[in-house]
Amino acid sequence: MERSERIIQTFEGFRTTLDESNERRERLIISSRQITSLSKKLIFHLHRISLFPNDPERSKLLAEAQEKAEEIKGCVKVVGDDLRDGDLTYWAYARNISGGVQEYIEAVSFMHYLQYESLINLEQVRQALHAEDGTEPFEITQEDYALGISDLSGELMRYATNCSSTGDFKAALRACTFVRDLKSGLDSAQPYVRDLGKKQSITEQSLLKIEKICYAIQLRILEYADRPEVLAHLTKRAMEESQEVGADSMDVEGGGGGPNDSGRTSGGDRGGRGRGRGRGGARGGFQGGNRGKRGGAGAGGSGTEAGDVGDGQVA
Amino acid sequence: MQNNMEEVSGTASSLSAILQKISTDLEHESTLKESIKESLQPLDTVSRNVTALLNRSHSTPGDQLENLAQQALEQIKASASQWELVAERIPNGEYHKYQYQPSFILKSFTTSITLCYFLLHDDLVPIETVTSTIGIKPEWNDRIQLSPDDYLQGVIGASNELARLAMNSVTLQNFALPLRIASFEKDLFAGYSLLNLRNDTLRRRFDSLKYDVKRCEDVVYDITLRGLTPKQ
Repeated sequence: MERSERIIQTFEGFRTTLDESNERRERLIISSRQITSLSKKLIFHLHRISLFPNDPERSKLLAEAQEKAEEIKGCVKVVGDDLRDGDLTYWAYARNISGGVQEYIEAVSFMHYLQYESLINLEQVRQALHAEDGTEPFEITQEDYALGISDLSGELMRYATNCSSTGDFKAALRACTFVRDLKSGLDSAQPYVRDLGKKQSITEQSLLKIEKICYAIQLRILEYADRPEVLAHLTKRAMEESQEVGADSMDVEGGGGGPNDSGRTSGGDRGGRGRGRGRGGARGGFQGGNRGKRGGAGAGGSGTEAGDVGDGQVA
Repeated sequence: MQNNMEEVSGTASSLSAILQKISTDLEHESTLKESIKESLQPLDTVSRNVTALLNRSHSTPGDQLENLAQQALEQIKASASQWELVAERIPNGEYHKYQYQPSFILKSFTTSITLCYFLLHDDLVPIETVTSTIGIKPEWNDRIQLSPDDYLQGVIGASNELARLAMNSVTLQNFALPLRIASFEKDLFAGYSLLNLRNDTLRRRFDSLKYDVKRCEDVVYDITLRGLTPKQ
């Protein structure tokens, strides 16, 4: 055979190999996007739970969340099957899949937090994805896990914001401690995971926001500790308001966690004046004074948390 | 209040334990990567030496080129046993995970072997021959292999060198070699044109192949025009 013919033959072989791998890559990218989008939906759904902290709504919402998680598991299985029919292939396409995987980890870790107020570990993530016969679709890597739970902090920031407006102050305070520990725990993994540094700085911003919320909450609790009926009243009112606002916030893309804006800074100033005016200022802050329903002393005291609450819900 | 505090610290300890484990695992992996890198170090040196040796082809008279190619192949074959250590350090089944590490060296070896094979046999070296010349054993399949992508990129590296050699041979008054090279480049180009490339490194390398073909054609044109081509 002539050299030119032999070369043509060789390259026809390579063409088949490359085509197969390209087609598979395309399929995996599509599946990964699907996993991402379903995971985002699950996260929005989970945020609704914080607005309905009591049964039966809460249980119902959680059960629905579980169903959505199952749906994602189906997608993950499709990815796993596609990877299995060639051997050793996961790592060849890891880059194409990891976006979806990270979003999924963010969603399940949030769900896990809402159920148990603890951090889901890597083993539990893997187990959640096991097929009925116990086989693993593909390996969930430590890197994806670390990146996924780093994103969890952003969700918890929104969660804490919602909690503070529904009056579940303790939940917000616990979320604050949790995010703080999460951040410092992940710091030691930072040198080994590419892009974790970037995510960690976003985590830090989320943490600072939650800390501001908690600061405001704690002041309020201290102030009204001797008057539980006032506290209850404020809580009830805030819940009513948050449901009005909550209705808008649900369909909004959750890309928050950005840096503080100037509006918040001036809010802090006003909060400072509010403190000087005593209870009136604090009450105003609670209500989200800029809505202007109460007027009077309240308007002067729209403390830092008012800005944060508003921001978190619309973010 | 007391209760609350305990709860919080309980969560913290399990949380930090979970994350501690992740960090430890990641640290192990990074140590492993380092050790693979270390085992590749001597091979990297060999590949650079061979490249340097073959660089001499641009100033070597035509009748000594085969000798040079033999020498280069000898050097590559002498380093073959060093891959044992690399294969030992990569965990079973994790070929793709660490594939990027030896990729550069494998491409460089492929380029050198393709050059030598062309000089000696006037043909494109098959991927299997490259693999065995480098010294990568088929039974290491799940840990280390020469991927089609590395091979295809390595061959284009040789094409770049050959286009240069075509010109430099003329300087050395070797007028037969440019004709051989031009015909080879044309066959290679026909081969690569069959591939459906996506927008990646191989695609960009393929673009350089087009220029190689043109450069060789220009050289052939120049020597033909002046009646310098050897008589058939």
